Amino acid sequence: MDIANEVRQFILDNFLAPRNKGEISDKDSFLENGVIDSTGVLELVTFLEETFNVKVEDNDLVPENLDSIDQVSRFVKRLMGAGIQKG
Amino acid sequence: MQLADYVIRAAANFPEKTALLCETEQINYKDLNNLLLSFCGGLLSLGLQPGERVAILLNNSIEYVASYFGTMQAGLVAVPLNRATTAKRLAYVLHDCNIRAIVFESGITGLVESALTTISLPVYKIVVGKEIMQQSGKNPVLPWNHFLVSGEKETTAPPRDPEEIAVILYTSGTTGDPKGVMLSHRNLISNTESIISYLHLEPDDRVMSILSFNYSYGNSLLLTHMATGGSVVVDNRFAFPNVVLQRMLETEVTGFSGVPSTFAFLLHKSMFRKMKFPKLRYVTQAGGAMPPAVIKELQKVLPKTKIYIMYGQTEAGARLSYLEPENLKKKLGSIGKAIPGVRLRVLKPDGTQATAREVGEIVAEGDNIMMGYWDSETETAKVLKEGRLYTGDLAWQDEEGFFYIVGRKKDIIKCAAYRISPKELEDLLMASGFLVEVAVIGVEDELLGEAIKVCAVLEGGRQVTAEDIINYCKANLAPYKIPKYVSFYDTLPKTHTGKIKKDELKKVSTPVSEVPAK
Repeated sequence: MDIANEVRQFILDNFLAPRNKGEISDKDSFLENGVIDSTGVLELVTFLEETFNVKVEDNDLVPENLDSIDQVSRFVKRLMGAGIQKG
Repeated sequence: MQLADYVIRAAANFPEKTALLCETEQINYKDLNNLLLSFCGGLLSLGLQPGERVAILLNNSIEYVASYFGTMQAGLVAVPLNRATTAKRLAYVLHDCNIRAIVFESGITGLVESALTTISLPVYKIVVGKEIMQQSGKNPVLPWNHFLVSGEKETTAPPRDPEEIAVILYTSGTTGDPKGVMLSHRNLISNTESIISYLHLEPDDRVMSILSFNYSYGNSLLLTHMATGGSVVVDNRFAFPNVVLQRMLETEVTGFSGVPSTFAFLLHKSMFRKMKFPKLRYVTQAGGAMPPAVIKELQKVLPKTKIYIMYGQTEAGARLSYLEPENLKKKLGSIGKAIPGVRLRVLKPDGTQATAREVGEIVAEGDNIMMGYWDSETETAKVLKEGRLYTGDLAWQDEEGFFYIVGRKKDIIKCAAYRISPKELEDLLMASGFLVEVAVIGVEDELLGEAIKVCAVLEGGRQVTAEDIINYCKANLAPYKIPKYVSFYDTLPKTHTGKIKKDELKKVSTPVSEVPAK
């Protein structure tokens, strides 16, 4: 399973208007590019928990983990590696 | 007196004091004043005429504030707009108010260009950001830094008539086209002074602003703090609430303001409950009714902070009523009484005043009430009658004169022969402890006309079924108020100001699961 691909597809399908499709790179900040708001972060977290069977804690909701496709991929890999999965 | 005088006055009184603390930079009043005067000079050098409109399409930032007050100092009308929009909607607004200049960040050039294709007159594009844009087409490109030095610092602007339009704020428009609310300097000054008096704002106050300045509530945060010479901490990262909470501690803010979804998010999806904010003097909540259960939770987390529940509309320059923190327990669920300078009444459909506990429409009078909707006499006539604002909000007053909102006139569910307030059900459901947020709507029903549907977001880890929700309602409500449908969602769709889009829920929103109750 390619985590980055799955996350990218989710972001493209759910947050980017058609005119912006393909305009976001894996390193681009969601915040700076206005891709995501607080509702969007919750949708992203739900997607991650359901797709990758991981558990995202409240203190994980920081830009270092969730503000770009690259960061999200690294974060999910870390959770999966650490075995932090939904109970 | 006009609104830019707030910054000019603060620069004279507190030149070195910090006006704005953004994420990576800050500015004192002296420099902010210079910046707004440069921006004003730049606009005047373009030959724009008094009363013409300048759109501001920026995140909360130093550039936003300089553009906003600089536009007014030049005798022009500021039109703050939400960046998170579509080209179609942006084009509608730019066309509607016949915009002459637009300030935006280079990162959204595509959006702006696309919107401008439908505008025939040339529009000056004032671009903030590092990327250099090429001149192309009919719309001249003016990079921010070049633009600022293009005109003389305008220090001798003639006194403005306070009756002139200062700002046009476009309503979020969950249905139909957005409407431009025209607010004069007098409207906004009146509302600003009133808010300052009841919040007891002082120059030492420092507010955390996560609300966009293009939203009337965010606009009032900016105005009240510039008027007192206070400071505004700007943070555009509320998508990550822990970051904002940490910054609130670091910057020792004395105030915080949010809409109901802000507090739901903080209470359920952040470290808020585990933190302490010793410097936080007050919290304000407006932008829609917040369920009493959430207010109680907020009080538990912030036992030493004054909590002000407020009510208003963009059409009133933001604020119409507030509940004093001292009355929060006794009058839980109330929006309080009219703010200083405003008269509020509950009127029945025949225009007579409702008696205590009788439901009617809230009608407001005061210097803060808008001039009308831009270029729309028909829409204006629907809500402004003889200078009174008909809010479309249904409410009742108790024997002591405290107002209690029942709901929007248009949201009332007409189920069989009954008129049901969604707010009553929403407040009850939030008190169950099962839910993070909820919206109750009416959906078409052959038999009943409208049937009640609950759209709920469950608290994490809760194993609650639709039947549980229905049973809870049965235990607490009259039979005719029992919902027919329950749908569960991950989150509810919201406007950029955090209001739940009930119309969207009625139309297309896809729930995680939908269960008709038995």
